[in-house]
Amino acid sequence: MTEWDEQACIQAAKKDPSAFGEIYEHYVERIYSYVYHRVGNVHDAEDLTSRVFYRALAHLDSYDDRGVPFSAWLYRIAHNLVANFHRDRTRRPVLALDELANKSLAKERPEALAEQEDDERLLQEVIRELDQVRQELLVLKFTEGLSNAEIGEIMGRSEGAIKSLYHRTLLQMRKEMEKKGIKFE
Amino acid sequence: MKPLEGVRRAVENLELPFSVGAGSDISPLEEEELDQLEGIVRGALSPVKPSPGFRASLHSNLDLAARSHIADLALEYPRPYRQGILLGLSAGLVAVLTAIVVLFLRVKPRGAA
Repeated sequence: MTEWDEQACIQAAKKDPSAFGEIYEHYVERIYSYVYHRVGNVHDAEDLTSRVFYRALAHLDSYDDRGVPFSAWLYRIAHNLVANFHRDRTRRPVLALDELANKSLAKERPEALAEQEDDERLLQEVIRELDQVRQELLVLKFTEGLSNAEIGEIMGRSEGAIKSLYHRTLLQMRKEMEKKGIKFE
Repeated sequence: MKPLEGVRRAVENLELPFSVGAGSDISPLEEEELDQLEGIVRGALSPVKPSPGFRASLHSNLDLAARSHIADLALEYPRPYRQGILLGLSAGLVAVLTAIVVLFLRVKPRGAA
């Protein structure tokens, strides 16, 4: 979708909310993917994704294109909802049902495959152990493929700050992976 | 906000050039290692798609919400009419109260006589 089309869609949806469906179709996969990697299970990802779009629909009138892309506005809503979600959970460690299912499957598979899956699971663990800001940075960078400038827009930081935070995050991850004995070659 | 939260945020916001920050003492070998790690993290965080059922049901629920939003707007009286109704009600109330007071004042002297 071109920038012009997107703006036309937004204007149309502002006048007639039933046109919001087109905007939803354009962004649903990206927002879901972002939320999924931030919460780690399908149930909460679906719940939060729904909330993001309901909120966007309700507040569409307040979106004003003054240099802030619509995607950044939408991610900002998702970012706030995910932050509230984690705050409400009071950092209680929850093992997602998806992870439980993966664990039981791993038991039935050959050893080499299980070992590889074990490394993947440990890697996910390392990512989840990072603070929320660093996790969000990684998800926006790799899942959404956003540039440092776009990430900065969403997270309210400068491009340079995102760049150095990213570098520090990689260094921290490498250290944690070494501690857990994860091999990466 | 926690006392050290502001300091932590300020440090996180420091704009260190890539080559001067933590990476200044990194050897080419380590840089290669970080590139490798970047590839691994990219693989671990590959995009995830929502189930088609969820996607379709959310779409139709949003459509429904959008239509009811339009219905809410249509049911709302236009502003001038609303103002007229309020003014009419207020005037009526004042008239009734005045009539009660007048009646009360007229009836009272007769009763006293």
